[in-house]
Amino acid sequence: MAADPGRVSARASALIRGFGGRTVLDGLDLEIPDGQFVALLGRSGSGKSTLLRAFAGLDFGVAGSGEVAVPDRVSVVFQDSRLLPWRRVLDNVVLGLAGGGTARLARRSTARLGGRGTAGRGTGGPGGRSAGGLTARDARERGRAALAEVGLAGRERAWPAELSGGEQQRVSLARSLVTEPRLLLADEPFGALDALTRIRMHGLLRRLCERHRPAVLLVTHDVDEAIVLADRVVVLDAGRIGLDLTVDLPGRRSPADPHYLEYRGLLLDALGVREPGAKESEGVPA
Amino acid sequence: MTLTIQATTTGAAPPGATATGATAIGPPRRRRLGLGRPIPYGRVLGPLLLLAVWSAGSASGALDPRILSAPWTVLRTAGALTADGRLPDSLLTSLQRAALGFSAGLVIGTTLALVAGLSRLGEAVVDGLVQVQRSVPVLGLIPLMILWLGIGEAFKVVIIAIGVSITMYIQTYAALTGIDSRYVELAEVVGLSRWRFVRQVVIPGALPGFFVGLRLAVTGSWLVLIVLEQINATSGIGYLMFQAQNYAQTDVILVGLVVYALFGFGSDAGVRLIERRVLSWRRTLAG
Ligand SMILES: Nc1ncnc2c1ncn2[C@@H]1O[C@H](COP(=O)(O)OP(=O)(O)OP(=O)(O)O)[C@@H](O)[C@H]1O
Ligand SMILES: [Mg+2]
Repeated sequence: MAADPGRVSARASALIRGFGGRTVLDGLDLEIPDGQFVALLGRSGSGKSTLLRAFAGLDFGVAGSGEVAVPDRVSVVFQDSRLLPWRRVLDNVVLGLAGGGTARLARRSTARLGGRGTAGRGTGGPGGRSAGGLTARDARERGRAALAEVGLAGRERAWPAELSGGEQQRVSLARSLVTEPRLLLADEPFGALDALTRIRMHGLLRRLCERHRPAVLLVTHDVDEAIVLADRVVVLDAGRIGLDLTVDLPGRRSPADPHYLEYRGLLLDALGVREPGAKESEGVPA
Repeated sequence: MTLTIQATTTGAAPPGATATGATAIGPPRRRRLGLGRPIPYGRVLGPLLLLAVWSAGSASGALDPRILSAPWTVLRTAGALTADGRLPDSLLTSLQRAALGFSAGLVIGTTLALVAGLSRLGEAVVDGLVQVQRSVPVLGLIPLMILWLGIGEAFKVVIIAIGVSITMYIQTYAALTGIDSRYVELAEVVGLSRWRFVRQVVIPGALPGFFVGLRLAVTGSWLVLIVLEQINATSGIGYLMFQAQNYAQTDVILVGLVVYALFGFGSDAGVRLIERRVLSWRRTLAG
C-alpha cells in the first residue's frame, strides 16, 4: 500500500484558535501530503499542541474558525504513553480495534463483532483484508504483530506498570500503528525519555514509518530530532507557519554532515536561538 | 582524526587507594521509605497482645470480674450460650439482617451511582436527591421508619440498606465522575464507542473508588446494626447484650462484643481479599 505523495493527507486552512481572547493560531495554513513526515517546531507556548489537537479533533469548545481535513484513520501518540493501567499490554494495543475487547469478552463476542468491524473500514489492511470484518482473533493477531514490530514480543500479558518508560512508549506506538493510520499525530512522544532511549526510538519510528507510510505530524522541542526524522520541518511562529523547510539529506543523517549543520542553523535562527560560537564547529572534521 | 581513550582496567587499584582504605567504601546507605516486607500474620499481633494483658489482669485479680470477666469465663459462657441455642439463633438473626440490608444497599447505591455517573439526566435527578438525603444522618431516620414499618425486621433492614447505599453511592459516583481526563481523550482518539468507553475505561477506572466505598459500607453496616439491635430489638446479638446489661452479666456482653468484632474483622478481610484479586494491576506501597 504505497502512499501517493501527490495526494493531500491532512489540511488546515485559515485556522484560528484562541484562549480567553488571546489568539494562538492566527490564520494558519498547512498541508501534509500522503506519506510525508512533518516535524513541527516552535517556541514553548507558540501553539504546537493547539494545532495538533485541532487535527486530532480534541479541541472541543475551543474558540476559533477555519477548516481541518484529515483522513478517516488518524492515530495520536501522546507525550505520556497513556496506557490503561487495568488492561494488559496486548489489550491496550488492540483498544482501538473493532474486535479489541478484553480477552474474555473478545472471545464471547466474536460472532457479533464479525459483521460490523469499524477498524476495517479503510481499504485493504496489511493482509489485504477486505473492508468490514475484523474478528476478535484477528484483532489480537494484529496486536501481537504490532507488539513484535516495536520489539515487545512476549510481553503481551504484562501489566503496563511492569514496563519501563521506554517500553510503555513503545506499546503506545504499537497501539497507534495497529489501526494502520493514514495520519499519525505525535506530541513530543519522546519528551519524557532519556537520551539513549530517545535515539533508539528515533530509529524505531523511522523504520515503522518507512514500512507503514502514514503521513506524520510530529511536535517536538528538539531541532536535532526534527532534522533526523522528518522529510520536512515547519516552524510555528506568531500563529502561522514561519519557516517551511524540506530536509533533503540522503541516507543516515549525521550531525557531522555540513548540510545537517546548515539546516540546524536555519531552524535555530527561525526559533530565535543564537548558538554559542563554540558549538558551531563541534563535530566538524578539521 | 585520532582519538586516545584512557582506559582503567578494573583489576588494578587506582593510584592512591591503599590497603588501609583511606577511602572506605561500602553498600549505599539508603533508608527505604516505603514499608518493608509485611510481617507474616502480623495483623494478629495486636489482638494477641491485648488478650495477654487481659488474661494477666484477670489472673492476678487486678481486674474485677464484675467489670470485666476473665477470658476463660467468656469462653465458658460462649460454650453455654451455644449449647442452649441462644447464641447460634441470635447470630443467625443478626447476620441475616446485616446481609439483607447490605446487599440491598449495595445494589441500590451502586445502581444509583451508575445512573448519576454515566448520564447527565441521571446526575440531575439522582445526585441532588442523594445530597439532600445524605445530610440527614441515617440513625436520625429511626423514628420515622418505625412509624412506617413497625419494629419488625423490615425497618432494620431498610435502615441498614439506606446507610450502605449512601456510602456506596458517594464513593462510586465520585470515582465514576473523577475519571482521569487523559483517559477520556485517549478513548476519543482511538474511537471507542460510548458503550466500550464505559465498559473498558470508566468502570475499571472507578473500581478502586468502588472498593473504598465497599469497605466503608461494611464497617458502617455493622455500626448501624449494633445500634438498632440494642435499642429496638427482641432478638439478635445486640438484644442478647442488652438483656445481659440488665442482669450485669459482663461475660455475656463480652461474648457479644467478640462476635461483633469477628463479624467486622471477617467481612473486612473478605472485602480486602476480593479487592486484591480484582485490582491485581495495582502496585501500591502496601504491596
Ligand atoms: N486549555 C487551555 N486553556 C487556556 N489556554 C490554553 C489552553 N491550552 C493552551 N493554552 C494557551 O495557548 C498557548 C499555546 O499552547 P500550546 O499548548 O499549544 O503551546 P505549545 O507550543 O504546545 O507549547 P509547549 O512547547 O510548551 O508544549 C499557550 O499560551 C497556552 O497558555
Ligand atoms: Mg505542547
